[in-house]
Amino acid sequence: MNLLFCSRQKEVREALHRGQWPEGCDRRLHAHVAVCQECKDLVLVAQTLQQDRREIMQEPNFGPSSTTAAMLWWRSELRLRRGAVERMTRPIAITERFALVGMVIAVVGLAAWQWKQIGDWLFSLIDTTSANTLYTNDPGAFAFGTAGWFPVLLMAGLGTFVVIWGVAVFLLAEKD
Amino acid sequence: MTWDDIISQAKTGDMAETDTLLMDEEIFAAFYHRTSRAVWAYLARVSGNAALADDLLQESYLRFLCARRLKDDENTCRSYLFRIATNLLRDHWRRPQTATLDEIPETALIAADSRHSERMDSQALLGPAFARLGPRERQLLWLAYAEGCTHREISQITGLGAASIRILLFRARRKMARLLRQQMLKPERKS
Repeated sequence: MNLLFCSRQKEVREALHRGQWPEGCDRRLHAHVAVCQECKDLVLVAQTLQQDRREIMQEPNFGPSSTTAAMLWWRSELRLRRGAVERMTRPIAITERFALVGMVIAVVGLAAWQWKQIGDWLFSLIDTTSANTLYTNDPGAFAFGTAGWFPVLLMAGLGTFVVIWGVAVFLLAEKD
Repeated sequence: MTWDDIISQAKTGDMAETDTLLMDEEIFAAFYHRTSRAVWAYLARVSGNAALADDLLQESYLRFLCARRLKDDENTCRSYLFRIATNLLRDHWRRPQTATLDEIPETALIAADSRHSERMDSQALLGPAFARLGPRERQLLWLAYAEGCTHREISQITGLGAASIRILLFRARRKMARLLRQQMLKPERKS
């Protein structure tokens, strides 16, 4: 016999589990339980818990709320469907992000590489504007004057585009 | 090809990878009918909260269905369901307080289901005693004696080492028996 655990505990536990305690057990087991503190504890605890479980299983107003198996089945189908969509669209989303990053790198790279040409072009536009201001009495000055606004409009347009693009990307990311 | 076709193809492909789905809605309904009260009772008694038990029960079955373990036999499915429920309980307790199961204050779990406790004799005896046990002790006792799980099954459900189950159960049982005797000796129960 183990110092801590009673050797007949398994027998008592099985009898309790099968619902054979106390009627279905022999007198020797009854006599043992009467003197063994560990088995007495086992009987008391197991019977109380089993009785509580029986009451829950039998009480019509007790137990899980109105959830039905059909509703759970339907919700699981929805969840599986959403998971399938996510799995399918994940490569597309990753490709989109790669394309976006690639585009930004390409634009920045191109700007860095061709910075001199871009700078010259912008300065030539600004020079045209300055030159036009000297001919204010010239009838064609209005046309040249508007051309002078071109770099400003270009910058403003690009800035607006970048802001709108950033917001769109943010909203799409939020939606994902 | 529509999105529905693509999705159903993807789902069919997934199923082919994890074997065929043998449980249909009808079989699941029968399985749910046989097991839901037992799982609910476990959740309600261990958490001491019937509303939480309702929520976690639903989530347990949803995860069970999504995990597609439906081709397993009933005992395996049942054991798996209890394991999901146990993990959900653990997650629930960890979330607000970042505490382990053993660190949860027992007083927070005193209200061992208030919905129908007055109606139940066993609950009147069990409730106060159970509330003074730790969540881990409640879990072990319920699985061992109310559900009749073996030590190996308890180990699979709770994630505890099989060797430690016996000693933990012994301690929990001794404590529970002491509390039940104290409860039975209280004057209001005698009258």
